[in-house]
Amino acid sequence: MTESAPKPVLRIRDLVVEFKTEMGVIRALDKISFEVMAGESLGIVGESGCGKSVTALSILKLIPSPAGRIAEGSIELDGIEVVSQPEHEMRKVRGALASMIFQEPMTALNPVFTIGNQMVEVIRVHQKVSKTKAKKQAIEMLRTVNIESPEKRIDQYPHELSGGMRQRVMIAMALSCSPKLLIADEPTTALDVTVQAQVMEEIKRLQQEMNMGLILITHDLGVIAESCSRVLVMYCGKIIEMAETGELYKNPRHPYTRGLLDSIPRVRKEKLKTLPTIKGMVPDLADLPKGCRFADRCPKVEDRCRTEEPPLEDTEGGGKVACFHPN
Amino acid sequence: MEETLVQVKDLRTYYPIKGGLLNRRVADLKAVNGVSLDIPTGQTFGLVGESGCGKSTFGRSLLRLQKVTSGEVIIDGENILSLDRAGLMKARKDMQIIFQDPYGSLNPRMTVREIVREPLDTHKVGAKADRNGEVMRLLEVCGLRQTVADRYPHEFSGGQRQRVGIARALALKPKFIVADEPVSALDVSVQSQILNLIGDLQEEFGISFLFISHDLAVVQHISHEVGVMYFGKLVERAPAEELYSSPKHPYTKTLLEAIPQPDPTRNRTEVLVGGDIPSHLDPPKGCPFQPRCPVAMPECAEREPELKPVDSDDCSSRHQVSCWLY
Repeated sequence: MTESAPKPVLRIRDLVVEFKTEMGVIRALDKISFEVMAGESLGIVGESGCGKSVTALSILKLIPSPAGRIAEGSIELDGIEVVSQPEHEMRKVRGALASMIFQEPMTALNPVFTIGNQMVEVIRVHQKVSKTKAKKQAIEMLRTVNIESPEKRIDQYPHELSGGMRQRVMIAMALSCSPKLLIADEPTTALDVTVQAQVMEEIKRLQQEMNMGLILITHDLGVIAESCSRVLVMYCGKIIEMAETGELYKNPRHPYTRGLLDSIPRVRKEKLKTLPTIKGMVPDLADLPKGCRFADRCPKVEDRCRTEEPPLEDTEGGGKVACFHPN
Repeated sequence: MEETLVQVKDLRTYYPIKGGLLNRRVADLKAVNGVSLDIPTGQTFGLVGESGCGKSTFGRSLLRLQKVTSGEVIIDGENILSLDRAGLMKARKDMQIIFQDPYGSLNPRMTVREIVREPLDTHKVGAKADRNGEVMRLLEVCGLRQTVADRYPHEFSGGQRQRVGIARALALKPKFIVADEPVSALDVSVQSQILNLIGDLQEEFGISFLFISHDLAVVQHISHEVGVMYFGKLVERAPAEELYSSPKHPYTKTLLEAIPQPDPTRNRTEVLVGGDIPSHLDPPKGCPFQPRCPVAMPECAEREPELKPVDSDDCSSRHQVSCWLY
């Protein structure tokens, strides 16, 4: 890293998150560490159960309690340690320092209040402004996310808007207090492809304009390729690879990353007889194999992989990978 | 010439919109508004479109899981829409459906064995004593270990549940299966496993599929022919290779262009369309895609185009498009 490196807005160190389940305590996150710089966009990719959403929730301390808890580690948001922060302090952090957009905009918005009501509430929690002024700000925000006739929309209820429109409202709400970090958890998964492309364009544009840090969580390596400068691949609660986007797609080091990239259905010039797959399935967090968690599915597995867990180590490409025999 | 198994003629399925003081039918929501297609034996027709375009209603209508307003559905020589109860029961043996949500479509109180066996019992297939063996065979065909037979759906991952759903659909040796977004709820690495399985099964048993999906990339792999649906109608249909190599309708091009590609160096070549699918309550005049279309002409707002062969000299051409540009 160069001397003029920008300051990180988020620094996570050795984070461990545990959940109590019927099968005993499971580690949804097992010692993960990473940083996000101001103005940087980081993609987190992985399959269901890999811990990507738990990572997002822990940053805002939204892990469902008492079932889950942050057991170890530190999360620094713009220099503030979040883990030890009491709940009433966290309310000031959420929205102002970091905010979040969820997958399903219908369930994230309250159906019995108008868009305006909900936006004004957010603004007034963080800023001492009158209702009229807050409403004006809200209208401006809706205009920023390219909602047509915001003066009319602001008095409508969530069900009166289309899916893409609702997600734009969510973005407007998330950005209304100019956070330094925006966490987008599968923001376009519930949307149609044509709308998905519009919403992603919007997120990218605003991120650059406001110089925010962005964490984009998705299972779709296609979405990440077009929006993020750096990618982090998770598997079973661990980071298994981290690299610049260009490098990761050109030269994936971990066999799992390679498998993920190969198995994406894409429009091909020549139709394949069989699609490449990753054999088997993600192991149960309550019953993880010894050694490398990917060993049972890995085409390159060796004896050592079944006894020892590979550490996350630097690669010559400038990234990191946790594998004894990277590509 | 290959044999046609499924033939659909001008199918229309309307939902009533009720309103007013007496809650009377005030208008129709034209979910499927005149769709015709045919599927040869042992082939897959991929039906693509965004939410609300009517693709699922269409799939359900074919199996009479949804009341049809008008049109004709002929499967294996039988007009499905005119069958009485007993006839329909018999015909249903030959047609099955695989749903998107493998959890919601499997009874949580039944074991895998009971789930896969149920269609055999309902239709009294084979001797009772043999049915268990048949269940085991089906599980194996679908890549499930026989030891899973006495477990319940919640004990499985999404991909395994979808395999159970497929095993159930295969139980009656159907000739035709409607697969409604069968891989959309699955993780990518599992998606391709299921797609491969469906491809293998088709090859082995010669089943015809209607494969419904919102994802053109998924459809390409599995389909012989592809139809793109918008606002209740087919706007383009073509043999799979042709649709992907030379798409004609601006909407098809938009859909292809909008697929996020795992390639950070890619630049989108065409401008993306804005806006949303129009409201069924207030349909646009002329071509339904016209308000969003990047190349709309004045006449597009006047008259609605019909689905016609792209090459007008070649009437037998299977590449058809409904757009005033062609």
